Amino acid sequence: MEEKILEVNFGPQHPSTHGVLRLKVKLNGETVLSAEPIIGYLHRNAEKLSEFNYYASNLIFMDRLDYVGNHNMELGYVLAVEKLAGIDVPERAIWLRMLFAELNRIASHLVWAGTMGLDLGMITPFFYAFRERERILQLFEMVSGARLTYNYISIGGVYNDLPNEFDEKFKEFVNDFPARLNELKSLFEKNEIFIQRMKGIGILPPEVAKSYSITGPVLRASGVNYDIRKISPYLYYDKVDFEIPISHGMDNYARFEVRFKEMEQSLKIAKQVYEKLPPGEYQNSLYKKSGLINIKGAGESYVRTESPRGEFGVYVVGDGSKKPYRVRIRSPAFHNLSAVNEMVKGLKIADLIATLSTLDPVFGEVDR
Amino acid sequence: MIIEEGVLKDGTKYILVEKSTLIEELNNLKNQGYDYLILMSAVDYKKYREVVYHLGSYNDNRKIVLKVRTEDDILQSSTPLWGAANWFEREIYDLMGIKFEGHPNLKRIFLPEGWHGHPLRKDYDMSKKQYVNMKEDGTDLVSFNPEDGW
Amino acid sequence: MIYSILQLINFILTYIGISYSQYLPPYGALFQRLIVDTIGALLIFIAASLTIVVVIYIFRKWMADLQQRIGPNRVGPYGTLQLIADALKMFGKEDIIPDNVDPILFRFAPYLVFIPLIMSYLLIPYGTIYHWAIIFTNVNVTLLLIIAFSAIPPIGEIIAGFASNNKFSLIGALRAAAQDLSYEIPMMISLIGVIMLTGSLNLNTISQYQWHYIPIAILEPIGFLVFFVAVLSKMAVVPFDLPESESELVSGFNVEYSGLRFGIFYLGVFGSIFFGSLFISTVYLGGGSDLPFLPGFGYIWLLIKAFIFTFLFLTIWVSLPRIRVDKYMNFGWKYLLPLSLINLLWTMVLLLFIHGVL
Repeated sequence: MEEKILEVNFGPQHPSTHGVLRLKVKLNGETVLSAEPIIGYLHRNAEKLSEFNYYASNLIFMDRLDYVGNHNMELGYVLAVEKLAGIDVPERAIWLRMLFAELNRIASHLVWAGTMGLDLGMITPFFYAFRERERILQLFEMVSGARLTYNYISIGGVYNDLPNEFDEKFKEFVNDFPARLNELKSLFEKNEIFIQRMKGIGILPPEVAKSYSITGPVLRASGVNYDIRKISPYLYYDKVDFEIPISHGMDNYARFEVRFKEMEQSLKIAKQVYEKLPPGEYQNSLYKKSGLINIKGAGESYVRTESPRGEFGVYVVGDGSKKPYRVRIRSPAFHNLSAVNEMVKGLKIADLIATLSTLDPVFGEVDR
Repeated sequence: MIIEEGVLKDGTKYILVEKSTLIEELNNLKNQGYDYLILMSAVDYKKYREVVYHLGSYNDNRKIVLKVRTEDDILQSSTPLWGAANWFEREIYDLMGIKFEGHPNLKRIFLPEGWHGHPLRKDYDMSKKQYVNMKEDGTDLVSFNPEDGW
Repeated sequence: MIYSILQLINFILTYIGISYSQYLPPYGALFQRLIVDTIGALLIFIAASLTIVVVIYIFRKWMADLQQRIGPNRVGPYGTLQLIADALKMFGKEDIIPDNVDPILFRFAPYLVFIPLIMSYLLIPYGTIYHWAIIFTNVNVTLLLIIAFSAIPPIGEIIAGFASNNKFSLIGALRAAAQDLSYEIPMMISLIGVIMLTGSLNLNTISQYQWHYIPIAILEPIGFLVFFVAVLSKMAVVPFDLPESESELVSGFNVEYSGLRFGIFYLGVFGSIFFGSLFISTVYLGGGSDLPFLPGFGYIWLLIKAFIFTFLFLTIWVSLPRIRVDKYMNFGWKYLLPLSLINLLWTMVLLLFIHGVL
């Protein structure tokens, strides 16, 4: 019997590709022979657009890159520009930035948890995860006024201070969250079918991961202890106490475990940061609102930060004028996605979808 | 050969190498323990294009920047050293127009196949609009004619 | 006295005074029978559709409860008219038929899936109301007919998949074929155990047997469990909804269907859930038969048992992920089939015990 190879397009519009991704899959029956990702359906070329705006106006583009973990995107760009232009940031602003970056990490992982269930056919965890995310979004709405595109972290500090209602809601969230996180986790963990479908699938050896420049939870689930918050700390990550969860499983189940443990650690960091918040200014007074236009930068700089998907950074080249000469974005999901072909050879279609969901791509970031 | 050395604005050391010795220098650095290709970017300085390699290590927080300049837009590909260079070089070819010799699959990654020009260059003509549509067999059709558009 | 519904309709017609025999051509008794049967079939069609609508409403409210939300609550009191609104919307949609499909098979496939299901509703004994038995047929081999009818919808799914001229539908159709074949066999072998115990293929006799003795689920627990899993797989709900895996194949075999044709597939899914629960409670739990101390209300007992199973199936749908194809086939052939054969052996031992040989 001759082998018939069926070439199927998991097209840009598909309920489970987490955005616009086109996968050219070669199938032999139900077994995948190769899966080539084709991207570019959300390409807006934020890098070129950034060359025509002032430094502070470019924050809009950075916001819309990874639309699930916005604060981390803004943080990467803002730290690079502050190094370039030599701007000081007050203490309270640094702690506030850390608080919101960690809360956003929890929110991003909750989206991942809900959509992972949907890809496997479980419709219930989606509602549980988004209910928790709703509380975080209400916290964000209190400070920045928006639920998706916050535009909160700005050059020289943050845009707004915490209002009075924030305290009560934050404490309520922090007290309730651990129990609900355990409930959400138990929906997956205690399910024999889920374990069967995730263990041993989508193996990514650490050498392959290192060669493809993969970072973030995907790398940590392959056993490499690499987290930018510990290795080269930015903001005040060396002043708070937290752990980096690692797993040596290399498969989908390991990535699932690592992300859930990361959520617990982020909550721990958020609690410590909130207790240590000093009073003071939230924005460098030279650069409040209309002063932002006066930022000038000359030279090159790149600062590494840890976003929910891996290492994020922006390489800014300035020529001494008010507009940047070149803005280059390093997006982690771009690299996580490039290793798909290595991970799915020989699996079935259902495993391909499950593996793609544990890689957690967000296409605003992949396509920029 | 190292033409120039120095320190960037954010404190990272950088070296500027000659184009013909690019792969040697990269190999040297990789043997010294820089096994993580953080970022590969290309900057258009009108008279020449500069490709910047940010290299790091998975074991500690070392970082070094390697730059190379090209005027005729052809460079050696570093895909044998790092797997990540595959998609990096495709992106640089797509948006900046620098060709890499020895790349297994050098085609555009973001823009459709028939796009005219390379957007990130400083001399890209932004007044001309290009319209994208799909041909009968599924491949992309790019043209300057608004009638062909979606 | 036991009247069946057909005799009841005949009785009503003659009581009112409609004597139509003089208007009928020769073979009048046959025509009379035909009219009465048609009215009965229409009644059951309407009743089945209404029941399906009620099951869909229960599903949406129950699923919402398990997911900590409310469900439909705007249209009508507590959202009860939501399904009517959805049905009206679906009737009003444009009938889109893609260019390259097979013209006859594409139009014909949804009916192949839906009609045998409605016909199977005719064959179940619905219990008694006082001394009237609600049965629509006096065929003596209803169990065999139900098994035969349940083999046709998978053929409809395969035809829908092939006729759609679409690679995703093709994969869905192949999965439907594999699923149907693997899980029908354990189902039939566990039913053989029931037939051996009760000695007949007539569902009415089977449920009366369970009234006189004890429910067969207690006599044959292994058979009950095997049959439960097999029925769950026949109904194509998660964890076994392989032909229609929504996140992998974008609705599998019915991806090219829209509007009323899709509505028929959708009704078919819920119809088969309710039918599966009616079937399993009739065959294994003695549905519809009266309790010895409370005669005359058999219909209510059947409804209670069927709704308990419906809730169970819907809860399983909401909480479990989907099984992968090769593990699914593994389970069917390597675990369910030997278990059903063990059940057969156990039935034989039971029979020998009952007849006093052991």
